[in-house]
Amino acid sequence: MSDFFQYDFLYLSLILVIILGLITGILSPMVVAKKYAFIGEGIAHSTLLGIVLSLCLFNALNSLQLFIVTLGFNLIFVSILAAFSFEKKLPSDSMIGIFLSVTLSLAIILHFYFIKQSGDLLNLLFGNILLVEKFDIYLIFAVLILVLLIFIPFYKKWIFYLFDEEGALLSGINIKFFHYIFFYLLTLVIVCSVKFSGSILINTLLLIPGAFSYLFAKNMRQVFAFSLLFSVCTAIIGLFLSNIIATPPSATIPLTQFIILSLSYLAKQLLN
Amino acid sequence: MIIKIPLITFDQVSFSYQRKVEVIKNISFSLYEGEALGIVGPNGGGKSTLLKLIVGLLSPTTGTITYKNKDDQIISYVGQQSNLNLIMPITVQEFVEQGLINKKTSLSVEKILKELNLLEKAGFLIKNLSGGERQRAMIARSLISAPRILILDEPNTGLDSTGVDQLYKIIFELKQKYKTSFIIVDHNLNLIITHCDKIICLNKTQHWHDQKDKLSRKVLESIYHCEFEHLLIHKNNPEEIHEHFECGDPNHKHEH
Repeated sequence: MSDFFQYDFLYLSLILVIILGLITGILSPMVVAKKYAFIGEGIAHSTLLGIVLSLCLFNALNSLQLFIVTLGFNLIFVSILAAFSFEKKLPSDSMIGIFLSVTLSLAIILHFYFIKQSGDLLNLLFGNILLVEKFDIYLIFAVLILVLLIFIPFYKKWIFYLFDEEGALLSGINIKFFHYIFFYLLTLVIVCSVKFSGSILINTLLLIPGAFSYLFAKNMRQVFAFSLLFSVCTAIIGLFLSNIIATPPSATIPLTQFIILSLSYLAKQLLN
Repeated sequence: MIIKIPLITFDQVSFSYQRKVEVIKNISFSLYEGEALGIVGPNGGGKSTLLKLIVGLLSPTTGTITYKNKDDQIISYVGQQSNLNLIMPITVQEFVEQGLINKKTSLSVEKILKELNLLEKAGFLIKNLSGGERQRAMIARSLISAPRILILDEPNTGLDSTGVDQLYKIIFELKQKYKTSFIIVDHNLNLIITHCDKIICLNKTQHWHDQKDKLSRKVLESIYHCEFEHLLIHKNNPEEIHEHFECGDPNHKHEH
């Protein structure tokens, strides 16, 4: 454990997983409630297309340039996904699945023809938490503040929108606004974190804390409290474990979360 | 002399989606305080479209809709239970309080829960309620903002006969006590005939609207294009029991 205070990169990665845990702790119960299980995966894969396009069209090379251009492209792609899923012409899981395959295929083809020399871009999908820089911490902290500012003042409206979309619409809540904001927030979080978390970890962070909290919570405040606690604690435990047993953090954290979820569920069943 | 002003008036209202085939044609009716209006008709006949016009989610293609005082948010809509996301642990109290969001007027949560026999269930989760209790919770959520008109869209879905009886008993009490007006869409014709003051029978461009005692088998059979047995209007219209109505349209199938 002392390693985390001895080495800068470990210390930064610890701060990062705590902030990321807080963000996904808030968003995860919403993702689970809306049944957008693969949204994390979908947006993370479309980020790859955003990165390829940034490199092809703008030759964006430094972190900030790459981030801004990728975010811009991703917001455009996600607007299309949000529009189709809002119209509900197809089930949302199918829409996300189609979106995921199409953006990834397009990214691979563009990458194949235009930027062969820049190494295997697919590595980005698996991420590396130990690559975190101070800039990433500032960025992800800004995203946390934004998530809190969008979520806390409108808590009751978010819950109404998630629980009964039709009822919320008829009560005069602008559900289209909430739908788009939800997609844009997820995009922002994923584009900011995919470099070090990878698509597997971000998808797990957006699913398991929510699943855990719905299993145990007795009201909505507990749902968010449990989700936040689970998300942050398991991310820290997973990071420590990965350091001890020398495994990649972006694979160790999801497994840690799954094991803790399973053990908690088992304990609940035994106690009942 | 006191002139009663209707809460809502439809004057020759027609509606068509994207200016294609008319779903609703020249409908006119008025709803006054404390009245219950039943809407019946076959599936795809335009009932949902009519409700969307009433709550303002759609605008008429031609004709006018006038509200007594639209700024007061006089209409509240009770949706269907199937739209609720029951994975979320929402308590009855929290659920009813959702009805206060974006509303200027309100009754007390306790009073409404008591009125709908849900006071003891205030701390229960919505997902743990029976179908009838959940339906009452949905009505409570809509009533909390003290609307003048409450719209119920197929409120009997998933309820057993006791649940249905309880529901209509409460509707009757609310009509008497708060002078709330009701608009009820229901496939059970006898319930509508028994509990509503006015009835709209609707099948796309065909419609009928008047006081319920003027409703006859002819009208219902014309709208539904089939014959009915066991209708409660038998008692009021004995001369029509054996009558067979032909609407004259060769395209309409009559199932007997």
